[in-house]
Amino acid sequence: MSPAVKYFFRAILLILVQYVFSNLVPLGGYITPYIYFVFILWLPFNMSRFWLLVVAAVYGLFFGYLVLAPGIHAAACVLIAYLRPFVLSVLLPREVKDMNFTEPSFKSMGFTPYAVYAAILILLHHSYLIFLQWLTVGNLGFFLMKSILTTIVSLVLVSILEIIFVRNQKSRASLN
Amino acid sequence: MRNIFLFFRRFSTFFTFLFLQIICLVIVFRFNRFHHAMGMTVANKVTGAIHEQYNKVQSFLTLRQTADSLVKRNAELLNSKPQNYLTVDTGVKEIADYIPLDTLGNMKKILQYVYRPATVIYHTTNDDKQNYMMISRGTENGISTDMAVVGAESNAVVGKVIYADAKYAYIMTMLHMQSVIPAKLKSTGENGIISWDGKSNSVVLMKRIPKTTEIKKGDTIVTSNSSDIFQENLLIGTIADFSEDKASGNYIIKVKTSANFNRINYVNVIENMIQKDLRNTLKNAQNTLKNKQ
Repeated sequence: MSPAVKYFFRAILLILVQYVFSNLVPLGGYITPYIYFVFILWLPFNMSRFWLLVVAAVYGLFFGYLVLAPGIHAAACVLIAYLRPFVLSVLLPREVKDMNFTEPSFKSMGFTPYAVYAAILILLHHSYLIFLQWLTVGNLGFFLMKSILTTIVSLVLVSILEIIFVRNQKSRASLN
Repeated sequence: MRNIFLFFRRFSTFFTFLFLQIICLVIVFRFNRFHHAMGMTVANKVTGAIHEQYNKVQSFLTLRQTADSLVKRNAELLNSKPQNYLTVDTGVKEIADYIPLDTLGNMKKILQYVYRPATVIYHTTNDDKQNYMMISRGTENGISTDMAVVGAESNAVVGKVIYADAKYAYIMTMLHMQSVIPAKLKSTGENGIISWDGKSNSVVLMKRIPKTTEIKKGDTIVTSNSSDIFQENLLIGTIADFSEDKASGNYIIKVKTSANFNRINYVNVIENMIQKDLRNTLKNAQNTLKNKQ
């Protein structure tokens, strides 16, 4: 299966999962767990930054139109797609090209770096998303509380996803 | 030029990011009803504030025109005051081609006083003998000698026209040693004259009020009818202080002028339309008397 087809199916699957979570899992109105953005976390290391942004924008727009809130999710996705390389370069001291694995995951990055990587991007994504939804910070404490709680829930979901979706990661070294 | 290209190349990712963000935000504010409404509210506030500031500046720039038009309007209104009209005495039956009543059945009236607005070009207040004022109207605008001048703001007496050229006129203000203005106490109607002692530019003196008159501080002084220049009951000022003159047995009353001589920008010149006729009549009467003697 070519990588493009693989990522296409992954995108559709993640959106379906997100749909299930936001409509079927009762968590009250306070916390809306998000999982669809994992698609951007899981994009390959060697993807150029330009295409990262474009793919994130298209994915976000598609999802936004699906949940009848066009643009908001795309803006947040583009933000984390832009910041992803910086976070990765800070967390991974080695050159990305020397990586043995194609995508960020627990296995490829190690538990702590991956958790930090996910946490930072999720927090940024959720804060920006909530800000765009409210169009005001309002009560700062409430805003931060909601962002952080949603981030924690999403982080837990990402961990579960990592366990459920066993990604068949071939190391580059083995390919050669 | 090369550097610009290099700059764009170097930050191409950042510009792509900005471009995509802007597209996303445009979509957010275009297609979400809540965001659209919020955006419109903010935009309205901003444009409203800008419009308000612009309006302030514009109204400040047109302040002079506004003032001019208000002065003109004020003069028009003053011209329509009923005191400016003489009621023709119809007690005597006139057999002439003359209709004493107008078409509405009212008594026919003659316009006696006409107000004409004028701008003060310059004026003096600090001379201890003769203070005068130049205004931007002259004979071309119907101003001639022996017309009363009142302040446009206070409508209080300022002085009278002494000389008028084609475009400018010279006014002797109350603050002039030779100025004599017939005045009366508004409360009792006692007649006197207003003159100036050269001491203060906001105080004039009223003389010829006998000691027997009851006066108190704050009483209003207005012009009397013993002049063909000043309309009756024009405001002059209020009593600030009074003392007795032992030689004549009259009061010497210090009158605080209602017109603020330190700040006069606009005045109204009042013309008495029947002044000429009155003077002719007077002259003829005096000639008749002389001939009889």
